[in-house]
Amino acid sequence: MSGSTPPGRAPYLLFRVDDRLLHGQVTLGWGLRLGPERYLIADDVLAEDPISRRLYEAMTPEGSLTEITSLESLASRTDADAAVRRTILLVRDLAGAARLLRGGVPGPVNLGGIHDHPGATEVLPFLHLDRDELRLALELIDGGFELEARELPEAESLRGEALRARLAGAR
Amino acid sequence: MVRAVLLTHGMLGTELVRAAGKIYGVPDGVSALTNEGASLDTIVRKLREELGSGDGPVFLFVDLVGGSCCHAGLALRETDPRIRIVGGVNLPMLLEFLHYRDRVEPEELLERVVSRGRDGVRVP
Repeated sequence: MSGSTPPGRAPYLLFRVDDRLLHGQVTLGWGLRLGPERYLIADDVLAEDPISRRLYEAMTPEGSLTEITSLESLASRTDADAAVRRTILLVRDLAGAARLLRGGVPGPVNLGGIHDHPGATEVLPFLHLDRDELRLALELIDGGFELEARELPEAESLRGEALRARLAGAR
Repeated sequence: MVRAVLLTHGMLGTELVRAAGKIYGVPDGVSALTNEGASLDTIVRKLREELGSGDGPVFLFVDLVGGSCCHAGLALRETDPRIRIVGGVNLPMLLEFLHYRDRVEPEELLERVVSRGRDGVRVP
């Protein structure tokens, strides 16, 4: 079974896993270079929390907008390709990214910022995964989904077999 | 590539460069100097050494207009037309510098940097 991008769905400008969601690295490090029109946060907690939503909306850089939606509703909808290509998509954890990928949202997925959390080991200085997450990451790669680990655009991207080996070594 | 030197009190410049590296990416051609424990003559000498003899404009970011770092920069600017001095260095202006330094002409860059630095000071 191949999990690669289904025909007819355009990839996002960036599809990133970052537990800080919208923050300086994203809006400046990536945003200045990619120039997105929209930041799309797919997150079930934020989707139900008007106060937190307002905070993220207030952090949106001038000239762009932030939309917050649940994982389920994003997986089940199809935005126009042109809009998708101008959008940076953010999820807070690997489980969320997996749900979207398996729901047909196109990759590749950038693993950009997962800080230390209980049970996690350091894969890279900006990437900490627990046992379940490591297993999930390997499942996704073996299922044909494209993952890459990279904090900032001009840094080296760890992907493919090199990423797989690093994840397997951290288990 | 347009270079920059941050000349500040304490480790302010070093840490600003480090923070900018975390947010935007490791900045080539950007260095930091401190005035700590140095006479004005020494600051001027250290800055002159840091500027070197390369071609092209160099942005000199200082923390306080009117402080010794600024003074050293003004002294060197008298005879070194490469130097553009910006006072009140902060993180927003440093990020603006990094992004636009090779995208616009030095004079426009100077305006953008100062403008972004000002805009960065506000009540969100």
